[in-house]
Parts: sequence; C-alpha cells; structure tokens
Amino acid sequence: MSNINLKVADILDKNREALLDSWQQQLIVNTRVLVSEVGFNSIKSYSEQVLLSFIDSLTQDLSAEEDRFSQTRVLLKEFIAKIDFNNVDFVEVVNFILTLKSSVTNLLIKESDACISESILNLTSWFDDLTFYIFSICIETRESLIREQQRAFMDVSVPVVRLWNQILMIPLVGMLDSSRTQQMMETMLGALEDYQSRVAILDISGIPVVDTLVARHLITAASAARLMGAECIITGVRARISQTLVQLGVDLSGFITRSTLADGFATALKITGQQIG
Amino acid sequence: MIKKPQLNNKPVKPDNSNLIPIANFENVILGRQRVREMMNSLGFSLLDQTRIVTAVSELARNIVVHAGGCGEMIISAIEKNNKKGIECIFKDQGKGIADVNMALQKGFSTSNSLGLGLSGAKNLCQEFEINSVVGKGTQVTIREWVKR
Amino acid sequence: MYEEVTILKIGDSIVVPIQVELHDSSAKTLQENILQKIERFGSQGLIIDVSAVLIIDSFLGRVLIDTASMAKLMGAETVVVGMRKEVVLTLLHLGLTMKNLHTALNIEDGFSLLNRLTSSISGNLLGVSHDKKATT
Repeated sequence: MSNINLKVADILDKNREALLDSWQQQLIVNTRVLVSEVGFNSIKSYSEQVLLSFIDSLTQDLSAEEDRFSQTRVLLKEFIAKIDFNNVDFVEVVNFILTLKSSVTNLLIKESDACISESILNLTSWFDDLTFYIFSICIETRESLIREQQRAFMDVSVPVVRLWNQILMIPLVGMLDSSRTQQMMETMLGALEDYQSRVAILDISGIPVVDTLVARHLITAASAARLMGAECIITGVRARISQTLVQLGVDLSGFITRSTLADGFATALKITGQQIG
Repeated sequence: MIKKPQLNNKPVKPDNSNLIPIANFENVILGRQRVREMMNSLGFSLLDQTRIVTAVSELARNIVVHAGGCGEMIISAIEKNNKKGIECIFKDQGKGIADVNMALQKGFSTSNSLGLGLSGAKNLCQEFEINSVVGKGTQVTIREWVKR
Repeated sequence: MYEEVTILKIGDSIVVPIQVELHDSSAKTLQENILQKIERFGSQGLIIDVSAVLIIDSFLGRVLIDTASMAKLMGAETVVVGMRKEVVLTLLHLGLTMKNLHTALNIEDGFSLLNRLTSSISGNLLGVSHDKKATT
C-alpha cells in the first residue's frame, strides 16, 4: 500500500513543474473570481505549497487513524482565511482542490501502468476528504461571520436618544423579540436613571408588523418605564397598526400613544412643562 | 410559631454556613443576603443578583408560610463546562403539593396572596426543578449560570 | 423584631424612605404605621421612597399596592418613587406590573405629581422638594 503511495509521490514529484502548470491553468479558467480576489501571485504560491505538502504527505508511513493531510489542512485553512466570502462563491473555493484532483488524475493516467490505476481509487478518497474539509471551513467561516454580524447588530440596535431635556427617545427598528426587548429595557432604564428623564418615547415607526407578541413586549417596556417613574409615550402607531392592535384585542389604553413622533414629542414637552424657543 | 430542630432526624452533613434553616421571616432575609454575597463573589451582574435573590425570597417564604417553617435552604457554588453558577435547594417537610402543575400557574394561591410566588420564581431563574410528595414535603432546586 | 422605618410628615403629605431590608412581618408593621400616621395627620399625599430597596418580591409588591389602595380610601394619593432598574425588570419577570400605582423618578418629581393628583395645593410642599434626593 505505502509502496504505491511512494510510487505516486515519485511520479508527482518528477512531473511537479508540469503538474503545477496544468493546475494553475485550470485555476485561471475555473476559479476566475477567486483568482482576482486573492491575487494571482498569492494563488501561485499557495498552489505550490499545497502541492508540495500533498506530495510530502504521500511519502509518510502512517497508521490508518493518523491524519495524513494535517499539514495540507493547515495550508488550506490559512488560504481560505484570506477570502472575503461576500465576493467569492463557495463553489470556486471548493474548485481550488478539485482542479488539483483533475490535474493529478490526468498525469497519472498518462504515466499509467498496472499499479497506478489501482492508486486512482485512493486518490478519489483523498480528494473527497480534502474537499469536505474545505467545505466545512467555508461554512464555519460564514457562520462565524453571521454570528459577528448578529452581535454587532445587537449592539447598535438599541440607541437611546436624548431628544430634549428630560425626554428620551428609543427608535425601535426591525424585529422586536424577547431578547432584544430585554436589552432595550435595560438600556432604557439605565438612561432614565442616569439622566432622570421624565418621559420615554418608544417610536415603533420602524417595526413592520405588530402582532400580539410584539405588542406584549411593547407593553412590558412601557410598564418598565412607568415603574421607574417616567411617563411612556408610544409613537409611530400608523393606521394599519392601530387597526391590527384593536382587532387583536391589545389594550394600550393605559399608555399615551400618538401616530407621529412629532405629536409624541409635543406631548412630551407639555408633560415636562417645557417649550422650544 | 413552633420552631423545630431541623437537623436531628437527618444524616449529619458537613457543617457549613451554606445550610440555612428556614423557620421564620428573619431566616428568609438571612438566606437572601447569603445568596447575594455568593452571587457577588461569583461575578453575577446586579440585575442577575436581584432576579435570583427575588426568586429565593419567594421560595424561602413558601417554606415559612406553607410548611410552617419546617425546612431549610442549601446554597452552593457550582461549575459545569467551564461555566460558574449558583445552586439553591429549598427543602421542606410540609404537607406537599398535590398538583404541581396547578401550583405553577400564575395566579394560583392557597394563601390569599397574588399567586406569583412559585410561578414567578420559575420565571426568574434559568433552571428550576420541583419535586413534591403529599404528606412528605417539597424540594425546589434553582440554578443560575454566569453569563459571558 | 421590627427595625423602625422613619415616617416623615411634610406639609400635607407623609414621606417614607425605606432604608432597611423588610421581611414580611416588618412590611406589614410598616403598612400599619403608615396608615395610622395618615389617620392622625389627615394627610392627602403619601410618598414611599424605595430607592434603597434592593428586592421587591411578590409580597412586598403587594404590600405597596395594598397600602396605596388603603391610603386612597382614606383620601390620600400614593406615589412610589426611585425604584431601581434591576427591581423594575425583576418585577416584570415576576408578572407584577403594578398598573394602578403612581410612580416618580425621585422625591422631587413625586411631590409635583402629588400636587397634580390632589386638587388642593400646599404651600409647604415647594419648600422641601430638594430636601431628600434618592439615596443608595
């Protein structure tokens, strides 16, 4: 078994220049976006390193459970880390290794003798292994990106605006789920405490759909402001939303509601006994 | 109110200050303070402390009100998967709860209270377990993990 | 054992800054004492300052609500002031919104709310409005 691997390694090593050349040609054709994203020189140097480490790993005498390609994996991971997945498709990244597979297969068929054709079976499983590895890294990278974006979104999602003396405004945008409500309330209550603001305006203009769940979160937030001792005004209650709220049987009668932020602000000024000008 | 010796009929436990007999309302306050101290040293936020100490208050009160003060609470610091947490066990030798699911309903009360004690405590903490045997007593365990 | 909670008479109102940790029976005693003071002074307003209260559970919450309702029956409006944000969030978790309770951020705002709630205006109120700010 390892004899065959050694023989393959030998053939690959002898024809290394030609092999690299054929691989890089294929890369240019099949992974155009990837090449332009990473840069041709970078692709060239990585493909050379990957090929060297690949040939090298064939020469090692290993037991079945040892990872033959540990070194190659490190290189691949490093390579993928450079890619911006906003621009490059997964398929091209996977093609990076599949093009090497086709180059190596072509070469071996050309150099073919009896035992080499047997090794082609091995070849398939090796490249499948590496392909799956690349796929898993791609997905992992993308998921961590999504997680990061989510976190960033959570951080900026609850701004508290000091609209005027004693008046705070919290613009609610997008989905209002329970974890965001919780975070929003903490921020709001903190601000009410810090600035001793007497009015908190919750503006729901940016919330596309208000269902019972969202309404319940709103009531909780408004109750929170009230328990602290501040008045809570809900603004941005458009015609469509007021219809839904009544049809759903949501009772907001305990709170001041206004259709526009401007109206809400005017009311807030009145409550705090202030005038602009 | 009749105070009963708590530990006589039980296997002797290593004596530590984390076991607090709950016989009266002063003991409830003591339990609250102990939990707060431990949570503080474990690095819980002020909000988490307030939430859990409130739950402790509800559960310890239940021992005084519903089990005639025949019970105790045990506080311990715990660790799982590199996460630190606190565990509070409330044991009583009261009359037990016939229908636990009913007792967990918001607004259910046998003592003319708001009926938020048990259901509220459940809402307040991350992990909540209750076991009750009619005629023997009730055991409630709550756990809270430090958020990172 | 009941640790005395100070009950201050200020003008037509009564101010109760709770500075000790109350348990169930001491909370009841406090309620009793407050109502007796309202009766004795014929007060029209009651301000309960909870800014130093770290825990409001369902029992203490109910005592506050009940005290307000009882005071109302005796002709006094109640404002609870200075509730901590952790306490607020915990009360909502508990399911206690205290809908009918008047609240204010601090004693000063509490007095101006009382002024609006009670039709009669006491000249004394203004003089003490800066007296006690929220303490922790």
